Amino acid sequence: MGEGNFLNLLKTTGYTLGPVGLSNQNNTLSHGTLVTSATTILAFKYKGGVLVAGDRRATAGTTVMYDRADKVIDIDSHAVMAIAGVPATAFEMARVLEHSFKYYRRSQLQELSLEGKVRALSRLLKDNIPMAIQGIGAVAPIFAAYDPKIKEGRIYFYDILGAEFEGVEFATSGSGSPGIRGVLHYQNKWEERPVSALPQKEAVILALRLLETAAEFDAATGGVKKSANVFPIIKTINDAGVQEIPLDVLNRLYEEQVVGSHV
Amino acid sequence: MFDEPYRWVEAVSNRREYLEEQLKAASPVIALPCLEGILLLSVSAGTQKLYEIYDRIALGAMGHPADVERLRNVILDMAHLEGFNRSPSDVTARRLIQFGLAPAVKQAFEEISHAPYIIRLLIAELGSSDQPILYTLNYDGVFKESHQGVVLAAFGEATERAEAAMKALDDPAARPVAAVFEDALTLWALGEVTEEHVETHLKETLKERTIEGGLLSVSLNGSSKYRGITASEIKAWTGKWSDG
Repeated sequence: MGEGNFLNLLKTTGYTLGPVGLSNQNNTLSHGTLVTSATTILAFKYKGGVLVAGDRRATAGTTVMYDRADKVIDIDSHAVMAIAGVPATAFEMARVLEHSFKYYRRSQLQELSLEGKVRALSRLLKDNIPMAIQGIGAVAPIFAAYDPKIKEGRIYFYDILGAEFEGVEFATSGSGSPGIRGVLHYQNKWEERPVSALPQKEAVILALRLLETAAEFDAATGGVKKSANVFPIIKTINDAGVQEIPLDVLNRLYEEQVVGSHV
Repeated sequence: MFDEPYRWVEAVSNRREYLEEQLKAASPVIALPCLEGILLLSVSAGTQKLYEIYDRIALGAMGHPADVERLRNVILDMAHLEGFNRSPSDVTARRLIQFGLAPAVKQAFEEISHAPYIIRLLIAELGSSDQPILYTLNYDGVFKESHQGVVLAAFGEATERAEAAMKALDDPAARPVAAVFEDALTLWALGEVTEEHVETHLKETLKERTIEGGLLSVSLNGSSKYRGITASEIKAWTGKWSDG
């Protein structure tokens, strides 16, 4: 009582993060069932804050399991977690985090610091190491939040063992991320304006193009499926909180700025 | 010592007197429905009395701060474990009171070899259709449900006085929180003094004590619907009683 640690409270009830004792190779359970995984996620700073985006595809081996997965999850009013890796573990981590931050605020009567929030996710990843090294529960998330101390958004990315890194300008993760990481580097280094100088509309266009690029080269990343109204999830974070870019805006910008280019 | 039943009954009766005496100096807590949701209000000399419990649930408390804190932690743990293991929509004020707080409080009250909880609690919930659901819990474990508004006051006469005034209010659920705040503050004063002293009492209170307000608001974005009433809102809404 009194420490405001929800994960410890959960553990007193016998809770563990994910199943234990499974052995595995190549994303399969011991009896051969494929494990669902995912993705391309990205975050970058733009003129109005931080933008976080993710595609919608979840795959198991070469099978597309789901094309409407929401991988950019609100954790609180000013923080989101974008998930890459095994959804079962990643969604559970997001749920634990969401409850942890609320529980801390309500029990300690103050917000958990951003450093505390960043470390909480790191601790969950460390608790998940046995699953990650067996290859069936690896998660490499991005965490982005508004920092009231410096009055700007910040981006953190993690490896599957829980090491945390701050992305000064941007971060990418997931199987489709290597390609777009290079694009973001190029944009920052040689384009007329760095990503952080883009207004929101251009930032959203860039995010749509990056995810289309990732989908072009990575089978585990889903592209836009306009006929089914499936678009990436794109959210912005600033002092006003987390806001999702509405579907009609994505639809319009996609139509105007993403399709119909050269090829 | 308490082997004979009448001794036990006498001890419980003494304990009731003791608790009423302890609660005499406690500041009332008011909850009223308003257009935005549910307004909670109290006045303190520094110790917080209104708390966010879960996404749509808030707590108002009078009594000993250490006892309030113990019970607050009990329902915080219960609410968050339930919300995590099942769903946030399974966390309701009724379940928290009926299965969590009331049995524990009653047991403490009747175990006369142990200290009872010196408390009166109010739990407010924005229901699934945004309707106000209010519960009061007494130190003996008795709880009541209401949908119109609740006054927690130190003694029966003050409660009756404030409740009579509450029933005469122009439907608070149809009026904005700024207007209902004035009513709630008046009801709070009636929980301490008689009608003819309300104005003076409020003027003195504003100078010397801290007004605390909380709002369970249907219009807040996100899953958490509770927010504190800000100092600037309180200043703006209590202007008629302040000197400057």
